[in-house]
Amino acid sequence: MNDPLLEARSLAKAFPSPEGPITVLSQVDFSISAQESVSIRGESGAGKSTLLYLLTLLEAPDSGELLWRGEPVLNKSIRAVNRLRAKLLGFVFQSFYLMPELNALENVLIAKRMLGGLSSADKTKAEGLLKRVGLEKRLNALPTTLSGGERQRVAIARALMNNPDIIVADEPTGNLDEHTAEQVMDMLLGLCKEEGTALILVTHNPSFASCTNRQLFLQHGAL
Amino acid sequence: MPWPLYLALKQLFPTGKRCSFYAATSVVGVMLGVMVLIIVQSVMNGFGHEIRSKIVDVNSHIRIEANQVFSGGEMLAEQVSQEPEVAAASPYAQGMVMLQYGAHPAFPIIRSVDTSAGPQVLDIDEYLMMGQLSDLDDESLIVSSGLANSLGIALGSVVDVYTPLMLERMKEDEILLPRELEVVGVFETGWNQVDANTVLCTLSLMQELYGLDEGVHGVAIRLHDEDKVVAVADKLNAMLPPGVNAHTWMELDRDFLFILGLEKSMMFFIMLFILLVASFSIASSLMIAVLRKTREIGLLSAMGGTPRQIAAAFGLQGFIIGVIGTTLGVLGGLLLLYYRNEIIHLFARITNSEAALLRYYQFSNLPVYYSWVDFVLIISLAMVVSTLAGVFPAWRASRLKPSKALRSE
Ligand SMILES: Nc1ncnc2c1ncn2[C@@H]1O[C@H](COP(=O)(O)OP(=O)(O)OP(=O)(O)O)[C@@H](O)[C@H]1O
Ligand SMILES: [Mg+2]
Repeated sequence: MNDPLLEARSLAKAFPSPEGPITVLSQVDFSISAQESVSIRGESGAGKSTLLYLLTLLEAPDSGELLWRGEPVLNKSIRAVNRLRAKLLGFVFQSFYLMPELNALENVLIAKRMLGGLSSADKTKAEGLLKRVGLEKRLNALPTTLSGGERQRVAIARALMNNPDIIVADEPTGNLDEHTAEQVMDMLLGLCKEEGTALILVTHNPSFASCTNRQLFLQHGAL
Repeated sequence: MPWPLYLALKQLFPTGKRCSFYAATSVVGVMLGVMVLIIVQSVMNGFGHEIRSKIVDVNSHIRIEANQVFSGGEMLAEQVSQEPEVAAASPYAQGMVMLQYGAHPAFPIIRSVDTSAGPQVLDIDEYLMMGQLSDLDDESLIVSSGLANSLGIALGSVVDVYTPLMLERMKEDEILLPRELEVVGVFETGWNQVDANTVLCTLSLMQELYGLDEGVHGVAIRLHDEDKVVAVADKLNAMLPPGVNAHTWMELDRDFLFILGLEKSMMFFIMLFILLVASFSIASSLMIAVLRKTREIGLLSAMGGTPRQIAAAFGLQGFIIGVIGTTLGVLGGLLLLYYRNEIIHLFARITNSEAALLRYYQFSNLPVYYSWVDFVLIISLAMVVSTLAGVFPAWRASRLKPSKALRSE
């Protein structure tokens, strides 16, 4: 395929502890290309979330190289990284992290607000996204009045709002029952395909993992 | 609108609600603080101004005094009147006498007033409740309201006046009989110290009672422009011979003015605590919000928010509360001050204390004076205090590491 959107070479991360540093990740190589979907599985505590934070530079690796769209980002300023990240990546987490004061539509629009001003086209777009996740009737609902599955669907719409190249999802169905999880996962995979967005999916569920182009397994600090 | 401001506003005024409970209580806290400060300071200023103007009316702007009785008071007054800043100048004498009406004695201060037709130093006419200044001659007195009340004096009453001169003469085996004087006026200034125990007479009567011949105790001066009082006093002091000095009313009533100022600042500091308490409640509410939203803050950083923007999203809430609370507080304070008399009378009617209010406070209307300096001070203090309340929570929010924030469950 074409050039990787995101590439990591021999990333390593250790956390300090009273009994000396604990190596969580050692020598992780990873890359993902446009429109590709990759799943990462691993035991609890294997370091899956840690890997996502390193790849998205929400946490700095101890060593290794990281390139976004072919550009090394480890020595860039926080400001520059923040801007790049906001355009390159969309996030979906296990617990949805919606702003409780904002309704569904405003929660989706906040992603765009943070990149700069809003236009009326943005509103149409956010409404469209919410419609595609089946929430066209709940545009003005506050998060507290939405079910878990509905909240996660709002979060997915928010992640897609800025047309990111990659969606990073950390156990997006971890807090949902089986049936809802399937619905949400279908939506996520379907939307990524339609939008041509790449997907990094951390999940425990092998059947969800099998829906991705590439399945990786994190073990002993390496993929 | 920058998104931190948007988020700050949304947290105070969430979608679907008019405002959050925390925003409402915080705004009310700041509002009460500002309102009370504005009302108290304006009323204190009102009293202060009233008292100051009474002091000036009663004591004049500048007094020229010597260590002893001096003659040539008329000439000095004439000379001082030539100064362009001086509106009026007149020589005076003052002292103490014993006054007897029926069986009741009293020991009032006695002061001479200028009865000539020209410009007056003391605005006695304005304070006369009964009688006229023009009725005052060398056989009569004007008494203060307190004295009239306590002795039961009315217009036309004849009182006996004993002076220290009579005691002096007694040592030389000479007996002077008390002077019989008629009361031709009663005055009231509203300044208790004066109203309780003062009588006024002509300068020549005073000179006679005290055996001063042509001597006076000083020259009282009124200026056209009150603000020039220090400059004019300095100028006069440069002209006057040694031993004779010009004093401003501020110097002469220094202790009284000091206490007046002290009372005002004490009130200010006590009322300031309302604002401080309000700011503590803002700070703690914001701190709780930051802790409760730790993971959302993590997500904001993931979506491109810089630490400074995240700090603003929380810290600005303190500022916004300050702006709204201060605005409402100023408006509320001005409104209450505008209707102060209606409010006081209503209150008095409800508690049946209207008569008592008049008797003890000698005013039926509350005086106010709006001082811009005080307003600016109160407004900036309220703004600073409520903005500072947001600083620590904002700093905490900005220091959260995104990965740690997202991990915290
Ligand atoms: N800030 C930290 N300090 C110390 N240890 C940490 C820190 N963050 C993570 N760890 C440790 O790193 C290891 C990997 O954590 P991580 O959250 O990446 O696991 P995970 O694979 O996502 O697990 P799960 O499936 O339960 O989400 C764990 O043992 C965890 O205790
Ligand atoms: Mg995890």
